[in-house]
Amino acid sequence: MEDWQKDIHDRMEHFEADAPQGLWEAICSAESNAAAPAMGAGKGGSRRLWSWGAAVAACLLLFGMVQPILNGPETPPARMAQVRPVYKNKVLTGRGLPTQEPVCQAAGNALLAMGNTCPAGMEEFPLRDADAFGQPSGEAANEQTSAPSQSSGAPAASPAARGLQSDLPKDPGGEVDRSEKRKKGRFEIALTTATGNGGKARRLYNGGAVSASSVLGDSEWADSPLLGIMTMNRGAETERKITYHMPVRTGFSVCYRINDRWGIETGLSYAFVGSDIFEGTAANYVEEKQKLHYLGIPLGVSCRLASWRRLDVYLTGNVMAEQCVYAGSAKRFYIAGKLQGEEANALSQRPLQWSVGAKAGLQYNFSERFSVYAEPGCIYYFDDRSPLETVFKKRPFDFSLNLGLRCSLGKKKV
Amino acid sequence: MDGPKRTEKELLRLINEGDEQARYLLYAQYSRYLSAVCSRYIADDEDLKDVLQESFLKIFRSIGDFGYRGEGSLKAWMSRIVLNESLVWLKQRRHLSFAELDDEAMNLPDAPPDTEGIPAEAIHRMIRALPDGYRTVFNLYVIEEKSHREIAALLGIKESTSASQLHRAKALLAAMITQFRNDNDTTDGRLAERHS
Repeated sequence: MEDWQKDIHDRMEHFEADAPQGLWEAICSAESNAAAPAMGAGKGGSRRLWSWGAAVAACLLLFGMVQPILNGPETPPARMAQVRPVYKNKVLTGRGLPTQEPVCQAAGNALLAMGNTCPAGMEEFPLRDADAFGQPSGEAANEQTSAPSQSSGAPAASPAARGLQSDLPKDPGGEVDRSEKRKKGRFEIALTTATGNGGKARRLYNGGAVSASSVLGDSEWADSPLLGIMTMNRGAETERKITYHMPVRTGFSVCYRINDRWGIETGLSYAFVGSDIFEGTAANYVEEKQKLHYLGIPLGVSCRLASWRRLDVYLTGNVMAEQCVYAGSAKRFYIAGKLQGEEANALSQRPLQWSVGAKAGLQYNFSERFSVYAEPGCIYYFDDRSPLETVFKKRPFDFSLNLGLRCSLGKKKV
Repeated sequence: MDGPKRTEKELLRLINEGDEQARYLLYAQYSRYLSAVCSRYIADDEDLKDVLQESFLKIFRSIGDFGYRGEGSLKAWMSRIVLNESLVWLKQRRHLSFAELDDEAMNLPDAPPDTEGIPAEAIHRMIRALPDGYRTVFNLYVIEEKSHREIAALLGIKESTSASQLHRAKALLAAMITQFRNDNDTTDGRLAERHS
């Protein structure tokens, strides 16, 4: 602090000014107004309580006496229709799709990609929910990319996939070279789920010089518990720990095949990014859960490298723009280890996140239309220039794993 | 003030014993200090009275739970309540605007302003004359000695906004101090001329 500011600080620290005219009278008046209704309630309150209790008891007694008289002979419960619940197969099939007349000539088999349900955490976070994210935390955040495939909901385990398989046409032939006979439509739709790695960060701060205010008690901080925490931690070394949860992304993509090898794709993706932030000392701290929801549009190209029997190998590269559509924060304030207050609000920052990625894809075509694929890859997140602390900033370069089902649309080539 | 100043411990003992005059003694002893604290944040005198009234009500309601920790702790506790009430009031009434004024005097002068000899009342008036956002950040940074990080968390703004507001507050205050000096030097000069 500069000298002149230090001088202002020293002079203002003990400066006194005249109190507003009539302040004491206003305080006394406000106190007596606050006391009067309470006193009135005290005097007559107990009498009223007894009156209400007596009235309720009388009603119950009357009801108990009258009900047997009002009830007729016992009637059997109405017969319920014997309805067996029917669970319709909600899986999309080729028949369920609208017929399309692509601009360019459709060719080959149709493959319809099916996806999974949305990840946990899409609902609005509850104020008092201790696990507002519903996400794996701690060590789970640092698992390798192979592990997330188990938690992302592999398509093979989903009811959608099981139902899908029952609709598949049977393979009429035996070992047939599919690479010649398999004809693909020019349009492919894929629904996918992907996830990446989480992470942790930790920083230490020094609270500054000790002052008299650091010896205050922890009372009366309910209106501004954050101020209380800062006051209580004055002079102490505070810590800021951030645990980044694995971002989970889902969405669908549409790929248009320019030729047998190249295609361009776009689509829509949803991503959920969460983090837990701890700041303060062991006794006085703030716990914050941050949730961000992104909607993104990818744009990329894919190149089919090779095909062998039922397997396709390809490369894709894309650029994606993801707009944060909602950012929320839920905070809990603790002083001397006790919860002093909670706060939940939407954050004003809505950053636009750019990223570029490249993936190698392995696709297994279990029918002419349908296939499953896995796309391990890497992605780089550009700085969104916002103050939000996300895993995109912590780990701008990350590995990812996309899993999904794919179906190609359009007419087969004859 | 009625009678000599009492120690905090004595005041607390009187209040806890239910002494009828004890609250007034507390008010009389600390109202000027707390008014100065509050008036640094609240510029309007009517609003100042409302915030101080709420602050004192809160103090009287919760003083029974206050844990005495040495001389000065009661004063610090009360001033924190006043500060808290002032910030809550400013936020609730949306008086905390952090828009930056388009002012020519937004750069600090090369030489730091000289505050020597300037009465504390004048400095207090200058601080009250700052725009709400500038004034709040200046008070929290210079007088409460909070970091930009803490100010940003308290006010729900970015650290960069806090730093920017402080820079502009300092520039504006420096300009006021310079103007005050010039005005007083001019006045002193005229007085000297008249009496020479």
